[in-house]
Amino acid sequence: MPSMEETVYEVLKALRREEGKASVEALVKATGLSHSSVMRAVLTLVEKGWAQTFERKQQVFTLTPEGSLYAENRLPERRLAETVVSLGGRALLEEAMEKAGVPSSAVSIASGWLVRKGWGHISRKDEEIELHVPVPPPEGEDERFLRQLKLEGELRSERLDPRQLKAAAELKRRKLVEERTSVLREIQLTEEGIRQLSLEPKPAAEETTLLTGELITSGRWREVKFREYDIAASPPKVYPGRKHFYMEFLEEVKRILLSMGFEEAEGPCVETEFWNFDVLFQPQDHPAREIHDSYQLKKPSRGSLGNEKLVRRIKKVHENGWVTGSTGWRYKWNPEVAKRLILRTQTTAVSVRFLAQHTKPPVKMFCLSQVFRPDVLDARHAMEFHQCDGIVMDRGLTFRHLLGFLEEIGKALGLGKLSFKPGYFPFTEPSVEAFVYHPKLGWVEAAGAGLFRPEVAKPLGAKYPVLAWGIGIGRLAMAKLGIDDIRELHSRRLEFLRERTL
Amino acid sequence: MPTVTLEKKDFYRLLGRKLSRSELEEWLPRIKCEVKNMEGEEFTVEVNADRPDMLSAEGIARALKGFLGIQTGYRPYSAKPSGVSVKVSDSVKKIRPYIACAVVRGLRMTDSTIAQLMRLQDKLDENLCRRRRKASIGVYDLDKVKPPITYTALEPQKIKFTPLEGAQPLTAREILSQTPQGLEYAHLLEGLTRFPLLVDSEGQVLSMPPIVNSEETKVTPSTRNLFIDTTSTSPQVAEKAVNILAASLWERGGRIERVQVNYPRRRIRTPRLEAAKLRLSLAYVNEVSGLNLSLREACRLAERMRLGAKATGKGEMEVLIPPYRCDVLHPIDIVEDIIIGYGYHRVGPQLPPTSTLGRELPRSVAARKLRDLMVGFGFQEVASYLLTSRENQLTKMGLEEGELVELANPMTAEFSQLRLWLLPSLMEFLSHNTHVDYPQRVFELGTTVKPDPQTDNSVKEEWKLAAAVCNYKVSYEEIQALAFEFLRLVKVENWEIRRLNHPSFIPGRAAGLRLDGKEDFAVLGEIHPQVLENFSLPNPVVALEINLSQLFPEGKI
Repeated sequence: MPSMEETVYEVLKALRREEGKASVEALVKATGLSHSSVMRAVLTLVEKGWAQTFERKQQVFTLTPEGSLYAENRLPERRLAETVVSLGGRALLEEAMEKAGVPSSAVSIASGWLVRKGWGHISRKDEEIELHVPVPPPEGEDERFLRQLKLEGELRSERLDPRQLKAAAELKRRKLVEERTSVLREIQLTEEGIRQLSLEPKPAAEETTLLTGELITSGRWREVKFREYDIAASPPKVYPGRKHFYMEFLEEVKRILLSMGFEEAEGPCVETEFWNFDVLFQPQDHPAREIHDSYQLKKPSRGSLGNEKLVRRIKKVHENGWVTGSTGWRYKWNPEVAKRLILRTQTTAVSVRFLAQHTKPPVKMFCLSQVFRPDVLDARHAMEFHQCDGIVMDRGLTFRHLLGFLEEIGKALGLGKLSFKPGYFPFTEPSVEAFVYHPKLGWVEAAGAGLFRPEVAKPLGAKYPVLAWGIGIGRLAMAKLGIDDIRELHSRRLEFLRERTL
Repeated sequence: MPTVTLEKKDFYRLLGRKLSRSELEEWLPRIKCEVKNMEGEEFTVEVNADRPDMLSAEGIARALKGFLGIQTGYRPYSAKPSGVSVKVSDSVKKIRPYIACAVVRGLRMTDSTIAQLMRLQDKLDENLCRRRRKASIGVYDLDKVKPPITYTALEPQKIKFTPLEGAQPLTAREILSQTPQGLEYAHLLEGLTRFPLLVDSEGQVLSMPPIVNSEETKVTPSTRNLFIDTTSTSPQVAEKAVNILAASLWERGGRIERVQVNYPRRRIRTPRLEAAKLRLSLAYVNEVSGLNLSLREACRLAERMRLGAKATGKGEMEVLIPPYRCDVLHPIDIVEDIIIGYGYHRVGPQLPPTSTLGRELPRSVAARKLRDLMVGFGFQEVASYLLTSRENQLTKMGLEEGELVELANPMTAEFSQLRLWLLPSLMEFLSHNTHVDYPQRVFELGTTVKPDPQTDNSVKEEWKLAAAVCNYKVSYEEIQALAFEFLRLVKVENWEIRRLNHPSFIPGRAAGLRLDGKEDFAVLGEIHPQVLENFSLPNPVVALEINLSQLFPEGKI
């Protein structure tokens, strides 16, 4: 920290740079010292009689959001005028507006000001309005003012000449500029202050703004003094390219499962009922297969079953249990129902497709993808959401191992302690539901799991126990990311995506 | 999951003991129930869908008694003949061919027990009976019925009776079109020329399954003896439904009696309340559960779940499955019961030694690289739904024809088709952000779906990338530069560019990219102002869509 004496001297020097008179704020900017340090220094200066203070009211101008848009992209009448010029000095209003990228909502504003500023005139030709602008109009005082305001962030009435004040008033009427009153405390050097300063040698150097290549290579940069910038003024907004936050979350879940040794798999979103239900031992009259619970396809509506051996086994396992030791569901299994196409309702369909292809232990697989259920989209329901399913097949796996995996996954995902309760899924037995405690919501179901029933595992050729689990990843994401509305996961609001912090 | 509402006092009486709220909340989830709501004298319990026998106060109390050790194991039911018989006519064979019945005597009904009985019947109709499609249940005051009873099917014009809660006799058609039950279930009789009907020996109608019972045979507080029937397309479901009802009434002190059902060519007696036997080895129980139980322990735990169980030597046990249980298809179901009896909270998780290497799909690896690339180009990633509309995909994009994969049962038109390409999703996104700071650069990487008769699931799911730039001023060059540099970075070479006539783009400002004269793998250009207008976009857009599946069929770049 600089000593008090240094501080006082810095302020004194700054006052000189500001031609003997400056506001506290200007001194803060000019010295780079804190507000309180400057205030203390000013008090010292006043005590010594080197400076005196005044209070004065003045007007401060800033840009409105619309104003800053125009400052960036120029006034609509300017865009319109230049477009007309580029089109040969005259053009149909509608065409010019479109070319100029001026929205139709701004048509009267743009053309009105164009005429009022005397840049051109309007004529009527066969029901159509034609604009005439012979030459590119010179930059107006208002445009210069906008430009300057954009550069400096704010302008004070005191520093403005009458023409600029007039432009400011006009822009204020157009709601492009805002005006507020601010009380300015100013510090002025006294005779004695000036005398004190004169004891110091005065630096004499040329002030320059831009460091150019020419300055560097010629070495002339040694002779110039660089103008100090207002390093705290608010800069224009910049938006980086970013990944979608929900996709990032899904990536993170994948990364965790990969690190646990799970292999990633995928499967089709348009699925036959065969893979989505029949292979999973859900009888053909199961409520989940009704139109209230699964999206059926109209066009195309049927798929084919392929693998005849598996189809025969599934038929038998439904009808009489096949060789699994089960009674089956005891009804006539219909291959036509199994051929119906639906949108996958559970990623477990991917698990069984994978298992059919991988019968050699150990198998450790996961799938993280969309599933679909008939629902009207609102804050709590979605017709399309993500699910994460996984299976583990190996010799000697047990229900205890299943709970072990669930606990491990829960730990890795940061879910906290799990509590296990009996559950029911048509394709697993024993089945379990894992709950986590949420401070706001109480006990929340985090995962459903179980050992694949013999009626599921055996027809697929799995000779060893298969542990299966599923996590509603959308709900988990909402809890983890602090989102209350499920639609936000697929938000259409660009601002929402841009504003989310890491 | 189905829920059932219980009266506290009644439930505690059936249980033989009072429980506090926290005890209920602790114990019920351990036997596949969950307390959902507790207010005043009632509480609501959610029951897992595999246990329809627990859709009543009696059923839950019976299970909980076992779990709490108040009464464990299996108590056999006894049923004498009732003298009541039901003749099944040939005419029902093609409609609902099966019927199971029971008589329950010596009940003392109150308004509350009647209400609970009706609730159980409703819940069974809803779940086990699949909204009455598979089966439907009738409960009647036996003393208002003159057996023998006939189960037949008649032409609707020959049917007329006063439906439950009705004031006067109505014809079958009137019942279907005027009563609440008729309106709800009429679809189940659609297309039938004869309707199923239960009538007694004097022609009095008991019910017209699966629609409604008659007012005359209604159960009232003065009812002492009940006649129960279930008509069904499945003999097992018919019998299970009757078993569950009879076993529940047994818990209330009813005496169950058998009814003779005379089919045209065979006779059976229902209900059949004998327990099914199942043999189970202890080794299997321990193999599946990972527990180290002794035979004695395993039997005790099975009894805690109200199963009958005894050790039969050689490490085996014999289990008796009560007639009301519908969920035991395989010995594995008994193993689950034993683990539930042990308590899931006590099992103790164990991590298996299974050791594997994690492996990511090549496509996921590629996707990550491509997304990184797009972010590097300054684009914001967008995530849209696969479900969308024809309007979004074709109409608004200026396309008239195109084959989309279409849902048969959409909930809203907005989500009734699967997307064919990604660009319309980006346009939709931009249209929601017209007042947000420009420039707007967005991209999406995702799945699209189109019909394809060649595949097993009759569609082709492809992987695509789309990008769009919306600004006050845009240039074709900007998107072209992106496309060219993107392709260089993913090592796609020797492609050719050709002028494209595409209604979504301004004529003369659209290009298609292709390899070896094959189908275009990418389109790019400046979006047609008509399309901008369709999406209410006030500023121009240049865009690009690349079919990654076409470029990288293996998913690998």
